[in-house]
Amino acid sequence: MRILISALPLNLNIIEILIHMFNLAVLIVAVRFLLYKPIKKFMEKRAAEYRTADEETRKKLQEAEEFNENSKKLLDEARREAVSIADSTSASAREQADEIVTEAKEKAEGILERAYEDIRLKTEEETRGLKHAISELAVTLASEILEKEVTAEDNDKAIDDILNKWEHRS
Amino acid sequence: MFEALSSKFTDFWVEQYRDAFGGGMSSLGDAVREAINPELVKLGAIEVDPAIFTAFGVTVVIILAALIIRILVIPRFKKYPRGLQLMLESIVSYFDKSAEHAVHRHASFVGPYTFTAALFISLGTLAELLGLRPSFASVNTCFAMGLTTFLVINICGIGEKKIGGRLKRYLNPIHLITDLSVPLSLSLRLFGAILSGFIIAELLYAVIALSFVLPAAAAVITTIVHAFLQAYLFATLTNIFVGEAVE
Repeated sequence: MRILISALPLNLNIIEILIHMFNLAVLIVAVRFLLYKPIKKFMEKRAAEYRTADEETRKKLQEAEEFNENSKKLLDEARREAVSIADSTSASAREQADEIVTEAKEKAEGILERAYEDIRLKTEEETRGLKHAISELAVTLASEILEKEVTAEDNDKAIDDILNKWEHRS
Repeated sequence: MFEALSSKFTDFWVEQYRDAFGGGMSSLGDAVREAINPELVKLGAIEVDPAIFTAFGVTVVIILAALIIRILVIPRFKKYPRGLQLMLESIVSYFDKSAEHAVHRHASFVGPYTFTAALFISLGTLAELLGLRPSFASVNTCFAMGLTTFLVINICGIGEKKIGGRLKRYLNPIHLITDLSVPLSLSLRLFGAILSGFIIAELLYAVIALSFVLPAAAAVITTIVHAFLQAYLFATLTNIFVGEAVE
C-alpha cells in the first residue's frame, strides 16, 4: 500500500483515485435519480401529452377535411342533380310544347280540310240548284217564245250546252 | 523530472517578476510550488491532496441542491417552463440529446454520466473563486475522471458488442494504444487546463501589486471560462469516445 502511495510520479495516489471514483459514482447515482431522471421523465411526459394533443388535432383536422370533402361532393351532386332536373324539365316542356303545336296544326289542317269539303259540297249543291232553276226558267221562256211544247230532254241538252260554253269561257 | 520542470518554471516566473519590479519576491516561487505541489493533508490513514476536500464539498453541495430541487422545484414544474425550470430542462435536454445522438440506446446511461461529470468539473473548478483549491488541480481527481470515463466507454462497448466483439477490436494493436490513451488524454487535458488557470490566479494573488482588480478580470478567463469549457469538452469527448465504442 505504501509503495502504491509514494512511488508514483506527479503525487499520483491510487487510493485517492479510488476514493475520487467512489465519490464520483455516488454523485452520478444521486444526480441521476434526484435530478436527471425526474426532469427527463417530466419532459417526456409533457412531450407525450403534446404528441397526443397533436395527434388529436391532426385527427380532428382530417375529420374536418373529410367532412368538407363530403360536403363538397354532396354540393356537387346536388348541383348536378339540379342541372339535370332543369334540363329534363325544359326538355319535357319543349316536348309538350311541340306536341301541342303539332296537335294544333293537325287540328287546324282538319278544320281547313273540312271547310274546303263543305265549300266544295255547298258549291256543288248550289250549282245543281242553280242549274235546276235556270232550266225551269229556260223551259218557261222557251215555251213562251216558241209557243210550243219543249220536252225536258231538249231543254236539258240546251242548258248543258250553254253551261259548257260558260265553263269554257271562265 | 516533473519537479525539475516545475522548479524551472517557478524560477522563470521569479526572474520575470524581479525584472519587472526589481525586488526579491521569494513568495512568488513559493506560491507556484504550493499550487503544483500542495502540502498533503491526512485523511484517515493516508495523506491526500487537499483538493479532495473540495471534491467532497462539491459533491455534498450538488447532492443537497439536487435533493432540494427534487423535493421543492420538480413537483411544481409547469407545462410552460420559465426561470429555473427552463434552465434545468435546457441543461438536461442538451446532455440527453447529445448522448442520444452519439450513443443511441446507451443514452440513458451515458447522458446522466456526462451531465454529472460536467456539473462536477464546473463546480469543482469554480470553487477556486471561493479561495478553495480546485478539485482538478490534483492529478488524482483528473485520473479518477479519466478512468471512470474509460469504464463507461468499455461498459457501453461490451454491452453493445459483447466481450468477444470488444476483444476482437484489439487484434489491431493500434486500437489498444488509442483506447488506453483515452483516459490519459482526458485526465491530463483536464489537469493541465485547470492547473494552469489556478497557477496564473495564484501568481496574480502572490504579487501584491497585481492582486487588486486584475485577479477579478483574470478569473473570468482562467477560472470561469475554463470551468465551463473543460466541462463541455469532457462531456463532448466522452460522448465521442463512447460513440466510437458502440458504433
